Order: sequence, then structure tokens, then C-alpha cells
Amino acid sequence: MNIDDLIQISNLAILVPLFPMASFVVLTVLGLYRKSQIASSISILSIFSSFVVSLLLLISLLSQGSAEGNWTWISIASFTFDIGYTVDPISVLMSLLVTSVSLSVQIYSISYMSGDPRYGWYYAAHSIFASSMLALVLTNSLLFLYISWELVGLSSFLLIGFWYEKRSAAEAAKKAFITTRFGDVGLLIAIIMLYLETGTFHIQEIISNLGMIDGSKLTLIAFLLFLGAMGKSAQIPFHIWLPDAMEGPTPVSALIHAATMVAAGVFLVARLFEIFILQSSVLWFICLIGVSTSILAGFMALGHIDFKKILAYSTVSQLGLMFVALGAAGLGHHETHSSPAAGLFHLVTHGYFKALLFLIAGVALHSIHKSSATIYEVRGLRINAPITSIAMLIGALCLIGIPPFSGFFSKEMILAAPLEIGGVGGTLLFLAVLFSCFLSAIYMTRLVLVVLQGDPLGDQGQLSDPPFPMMLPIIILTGTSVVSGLVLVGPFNILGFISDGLSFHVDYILASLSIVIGVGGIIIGLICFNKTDKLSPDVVKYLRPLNVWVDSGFYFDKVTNWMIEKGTLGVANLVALFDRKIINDLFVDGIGMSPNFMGGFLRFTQTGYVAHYVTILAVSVTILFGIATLV
Amino acid sequence: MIELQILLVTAAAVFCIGLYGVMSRRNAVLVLMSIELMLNAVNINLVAFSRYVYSSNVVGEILVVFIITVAAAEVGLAMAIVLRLFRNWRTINLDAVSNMKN
Repeated sequence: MNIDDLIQISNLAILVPLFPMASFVVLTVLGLYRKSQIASSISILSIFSSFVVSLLLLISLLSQGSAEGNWTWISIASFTFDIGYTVDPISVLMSLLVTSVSLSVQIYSISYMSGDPRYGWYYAAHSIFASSMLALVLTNSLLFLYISWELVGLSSFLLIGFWYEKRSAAEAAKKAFITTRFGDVGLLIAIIMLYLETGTFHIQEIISNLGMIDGSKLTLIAFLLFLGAMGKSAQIPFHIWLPDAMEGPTPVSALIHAATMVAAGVFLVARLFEIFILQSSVLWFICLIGVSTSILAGFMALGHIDFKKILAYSTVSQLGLMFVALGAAGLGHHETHSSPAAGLFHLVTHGYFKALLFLIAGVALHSIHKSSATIYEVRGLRINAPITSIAMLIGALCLIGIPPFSGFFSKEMILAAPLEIGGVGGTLLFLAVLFSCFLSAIYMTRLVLVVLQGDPLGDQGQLSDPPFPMMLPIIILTGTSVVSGLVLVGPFNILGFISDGLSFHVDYILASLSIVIGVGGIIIGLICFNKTDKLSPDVVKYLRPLNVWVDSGFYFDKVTNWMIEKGTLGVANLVALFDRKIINDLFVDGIGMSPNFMGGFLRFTQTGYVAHYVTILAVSVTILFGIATLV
Repeated sequence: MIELQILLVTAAAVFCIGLYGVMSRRNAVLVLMSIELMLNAVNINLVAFSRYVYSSNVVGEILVVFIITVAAAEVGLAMAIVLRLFRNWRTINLDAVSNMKN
């Protein structure tokens, strides 16, 4: 590495995760987290610097193309572990998303979290989260990716359990950490297998050496990698942690559980897309998991009345769609179309509008001084908080996919993906995705109708538009939600950006179908939920069985608990029994007891009477001599 | 040769009497005396073999002198122990002093 390389602009990439990390270290080691104002200023400054550097990286990428840098991290005998960054379309896109949403959320938190006794610590945790997430997207080494992946899990744990005095929050943090860990095991095994097969952690080298790995092993690796993605991105059956994670402060939900951390799974699949691309069985599995997650979570979003949980299930549902887009892109017949662009596109647009919706939920919750509330408790937002209401309407329209808002473009690309597969499977997948979009239109309409309409409850008079520091991020995110779709398909061609030679073209039939589905969902929502809190009795009776299933979250929690109780604890008890009876009693205690036992037996020969000893001596000597003479 | 057999039988008899004494007596002094009997039986054997079998040298007789000396020292030591026994327990019954058991 010489001087010329050092002044390369892309080398600034290492600064992107380093700024927030420095902020975390300064806040914790120097104890500055006790000083609220200083803590938030340092943290916001650091993430703003990261955002600026990310913009510089984008400029560098557009002018000079992809770049990467490598440094030796550890060198033991013949093993060397490198640490490095890669500046390519995916990483720059992700780092821009992460830094911009983080920045908005941190500015928003200034007044949202004000007065909290651990205000400074909140910013420290935000900083380490941002740092690890940025390292995750920018690194070029799977080893470092895994380290960041776990750090993301850790900081998510810290932030979900931020109000750890509340038992439910502590439980939710634990649940999130343990559930995602199941997937992480798969990811770790896959990374180790890739290292054993190719001898490197470097992502580009691994991808160029994929030919060295035989087919069945590669399928297993792809499957295990996807397992990791399922855990982080809350896909069935690992989705159970995400709704519970809403116990954290609302800005945390906006940042981590809508825009960034849950996107890590999608990012992982997109980053290692070449590994998945020829594994059609794994790709079908991805599609299947994605589409079933999407539909089930859509139903659950429709059934819940908790504001944040509706948004959480909606997030799960949209993440499912992203996986469908990724899986279907790999299955598509045209080699040229095998691009993770559609999934990533939806990741970006969804990141913005879902963060926006969460921040709006935060406005409503903040003004009634609660950390969670049902949608009926915050009714009448339109009267007291008109600007917030407009922002919410725009966020909802983005999610439903009404042009010209961003969700429309990304959903249109997701819908196009299954059609590329063709055949019966592709058609069924397409219809399922369409149904999921339809569901999202209905539940968003319900959410918006209930929250915006109606008269405010009597004692909720303080429901109002938030102060400026909270309003600014909402306005910014509304702006990005509106324009990100148009910009990314129009002047800034995301398809060509991620995969060279592709360009976005609107399929008018598909687009109108998507609009029809969205508008249809809105109309059905308007009919069902207009001016009423609940469905009409006839419809309720008709939907009763479905409702029972939805209320219980399709029994996923119950089944998981049952599996832990019967399966895990059963096996654990067996192992414990083996340990207690065989290892402890037989081997450890047994060895100690055997001299004891023999001694107890032999002590009966020690009568203490000299006469007995002499007799035994005489008799045995006589016998010995007798034997000796006979022989 | 007859004399050798008479001597050996006598020695065996004395040894058995001594052994019987050690096994059956409870009095420590009597047990000591019985041990002396056994030693003397050995001495008789040694002298007899020395006189009748290996008559060319006096190794047996010399060994006997050693045994008598050692036996005398041993009796002195043993009597001292018996005396301490009596001082402490007011008895020299060997069964009564078996308190190392248990």
C-alpha cells in the first residue's frame, strides 16, 4: 500500500463505521454519557460525519467505480486474517440508508427521549449500533461481517431492553437475542464451511472460487446462510421476536426494527447472491418462506390493535416480500435478470417509509406519554396534529404502493420477479405476492382510518404536532419516502447501478394491476372500517375462525414454547440425568468410593486381637511352606 | 543321624509350644516368654544343623550367639513397653489394649 492508494477517496470508507464507534468509545470510556447534551451532540455529529462520508463514497463510486482496501489484521503462522472495506453499489446504497435513517432518528430522539434518566446511554447504544451496522455493510470479509452481525444483535438487545426496569422489555430483549442466535448459528457454520472450502474470508475471492465447492455442499452452505438471514430479518418461524421488540423506545423501533437491523438478512442474501443463484432448491425455499411470512404477517397486522405491533407485523410482511424478490430473481430464466436489485430497492424505500410511520407512531405515543398504545387511544390525529397526519397518509400510500410514491416502484419490481420464473410455481407465487400486497393495503387503510379519523378521546387533549426537532426528521423522511422511488428508477437508475446493463422499464399491465390491487384494498378497508371501530357483526361472525388464529399469532409462540419445553428441556434433562448418574455418580464419586468400599470390607480382618494376627500369620506361613515343598 | 532327628523334633516341639503360647495367652509377659521359646527353638535347629550337617565350620553357632544377643535386647525393649502399658492401663492383658481398632 503506497501513498497514492492512501489518498484514494474510497479509503474514507473506513471512517464511516469509525465515527460512530469513536462516539461510543468517547461516551462510555470518558463517562460522557452522564452529560445528556454533550452525549447527544457527539453522537449526532458522528453519524452526520458518517453520512457526509457516505455521500463522498457515492461520488467516488460514480466517478471511479468500485474499490476496495485490505489490511492484514491478524497473522498467525500461515493464517492471515484480513480486514478491509468494499465500496460497491450495494454497500454504498446500504450505508447511505443506514446513516440517513440513523441521523433522522437521532435528531428525533433529542426531544423524544428528553428527560430520560439514561438519555446519554441511549445515544451511546445508538452509536455502537450505527457503527456495527455500517461495518456490516461495508466490510469485504465474511469474518468481520459475522463480528458486526453479532454486534448488531448485541446493540439491538441493549436498545430493546433500554427500559429494563420493565419486565416485559427485559424479556423482549432476551427473546430477540436468543431467537436471532438460532439463525446466527447457521450463518457461522456456513462461514466456516466457506473458509474450509476456499481458504479465505474475502467475499469476492469466495465468490470467484465457488467452482471449487461441490454442488450439495454449496446447497447446504446457501441454506445455512439463509438461516442466518431468516433470524435477523424475522422470517417465519423466527419472526416471533420482532413484535415483542416493540418494547423498546419507538425511535429504536424505527431505526433498528424497520429500516436497518432487520434489513441485514436481506442484505446478506443480496451480498452473497452469487452463492444462492444456482441453488434452485434453496431459492424456492427462500420464496416459500418469504411469501408465507408475508401473508401470515399481513393477517396478523390486520388483527392487532396495538399501534406499534401493527407496524411491526407490517415490517415482517414487507421483509417477506423482499426475500421473495431475491429468491425469484435468482430463479428467473434470464441470466441477465438475476440481480438482487428488486429486493434491495424495496429494502431502501421500505426503510424510509417504515421509519417514517414508526416516528409518527412515536409522535402519537409521546404526546400521550405512553410507550405503547392501541390505535383507538390515539384517534383524531387529523384534528390536533395536521402535519403529522399528512405525513402518515403519505407513508401509508407509500406502503400500499400508490404512484408516484416510492412503494409503488419497488412493489412493481417485486411483482415482476415471480413472473420471470414462469410456470405454475411462478404464477402461484405471483398471486400470493399480489394477495400480500392486497392485505397490506387493507391493514394500512384500517390503521390510517382509525388513527386519523374520529374524535380525540377526552383526556388525550395534548395530542398535537411535535416540536421542531421531532418534526424535522418526519419531514425529511416524508420527503425521502416520496422521492426515493422516483429518483431511484428515474435519473438514478438503481437496476443499472447494482447490475450493469439493466434498466427499469415499467410494465404497464403489471403497474395497473398493482394499482388496482392497492386501490381495491383501500376501498375494502374504507368499507369495513369507515367510522367504525370494529367490523360489522356479520363479517365478524364470518371471520371468527381466522380471528382466533390471528389473535394467537398463528400459534407460533405457543409452538415455540412447546418445543422448548418438551424438546429442548427434555433433551437437557436427559443430558443432566446422564451427567448426574453416569459422570458424577459412577465415575467421579465411584472412583473415590471404591477404596472406601474395599477398606470397609478389609477392616473386618483387623480384629485388634494379637492372637488373631499371630494365628493368621502362622497358618498362612504354614500353607505357603506347604505349597513350596509340594511344588 | 538319630541325634539330629531327636534334636529337630525337640526344636519343633519347643517352637509349637511357643506358638501356642503366643496364640493363646493374653498376658503380655507370657506372650514375650513364648516368643523367647520360639527363638530358642530356632537356635536349637541352627546348632543341630551346624553340628551334624555343616560340621566343617561354626557359622551356625555364631549366628546363634547373634540371635541370643538380639533377643536379649528385644526382651529389654519389650519389657519396657509392657511396663508403660501397665502404668497407663493398669493391665497387661493384650485384648484389653486393642483400642486402635475402630
